[in-house]
Amino acid sequence: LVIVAGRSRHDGNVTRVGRLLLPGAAQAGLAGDARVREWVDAHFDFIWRLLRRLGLRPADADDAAQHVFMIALHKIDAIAPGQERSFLYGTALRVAANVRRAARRKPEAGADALELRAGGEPGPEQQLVLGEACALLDELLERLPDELRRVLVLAEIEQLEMAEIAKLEQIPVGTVASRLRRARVAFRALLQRAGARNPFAGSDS
Amino acid sequence: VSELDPRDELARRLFEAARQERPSAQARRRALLAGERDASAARALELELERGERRARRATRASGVRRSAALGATLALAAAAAWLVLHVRAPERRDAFSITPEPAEAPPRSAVAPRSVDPARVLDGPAPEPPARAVPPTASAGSRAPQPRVAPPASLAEEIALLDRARAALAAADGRRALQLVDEYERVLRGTRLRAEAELLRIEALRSSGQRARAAERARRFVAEHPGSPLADRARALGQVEIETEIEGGRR
Repeated sequence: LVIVAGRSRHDGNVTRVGRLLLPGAAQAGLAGDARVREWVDAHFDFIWRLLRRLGLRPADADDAAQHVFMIALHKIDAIAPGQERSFLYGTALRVAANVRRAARRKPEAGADALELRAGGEPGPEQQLVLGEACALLDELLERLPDELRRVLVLAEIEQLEMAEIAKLEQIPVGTVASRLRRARVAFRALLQRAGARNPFAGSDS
Repeated sequence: VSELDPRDELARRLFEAARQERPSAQARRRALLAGERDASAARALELELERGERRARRATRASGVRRSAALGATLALAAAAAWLVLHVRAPERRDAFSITPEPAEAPPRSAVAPRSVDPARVLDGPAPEPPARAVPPTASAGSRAPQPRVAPPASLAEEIALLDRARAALAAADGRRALQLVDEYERVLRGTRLRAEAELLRIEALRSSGQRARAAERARRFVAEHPGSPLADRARALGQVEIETEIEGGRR
């Protein structure tokens, strides 16, 4: 976790590299496997979509999601039952932030910028439309402040209740409501500015 | 988007499109296997996942419009699934992160398998040794043809423990021992999940044992191969240290 955040109390090379493998991780409880499997079943899609909407490309989201669950495995003894989603969420935010920082330092060609992995086997045209839609969505989300972006994603894409968002974000429900209002207003304004771009135009016939 | 402008159909559809995105089955499988310590359970899980995927695909196909195309695709999927079952430890793709998927074309650890170059050794290094974990052939085989016995793959706990030892050696400034342990991780244990960490440890061990040019070269290669990895920062820093050392050396 520490190495993911890029910080460590130890500045020595060895310790920084080693932080991912927390001491005692090897003995972290074989019984934890079943728990992690349950977490993957229950939360993998959520974490992956979250990573995508936080600006990671599909392939990076794959890696980052795996990373999140690996961290969860190492920290399994510290995660109280019922707190899994919150832990995974918080970890995903940190992993995503780190990946994005790295990407900013070394921008790559977005070869799969329009890549979309949709369920239900859409045809190529629909894939293209959905890919463009996700690209536009990400472009707009990118312009929102992070705290508004996260709340909007959780409410509108993941369709979580405010109480659940408040739990994940560790803020009062009232703050969630306020941020969501502001996020919607801001998003609407961004959409209006991007009005000429409608990935669905012409695809409805 | 109930509170969004009701005319804002576009917003609703954008969010809907985002909800349709799904991680690949491979990504989920990798996460499951990463959390799986028991090798046989991991293998059973692989097969279970394959079956589930086939069922899901069939259901999707059945509800689709193009039934004839669906038949061909199902057959193709079945073939792909069969291939996956046969190559249950095969890779999905090279990982940009620390938790690496299975090694490219990872052979089973068979006692009768010929010595082969470990594909994990994509970077330069000494010639691989035969895997110590391979089960030796039994002397009591008699007239029966020897059955290949596949040693169980290393568990995550084993991988972690070995890299912990390498790290401890580095902490004790014993770069040579750390290098031996990383070699052991790659060629004997044939670790798969933490190969990126192992490679970074190797770079540090090389530095620690005075092989700075090799360390710098491998650091550069690591960054090139894992540009988006959180570990790339560390490799970049290691490479940078070497470059700065070279520059300072040149000034003197």
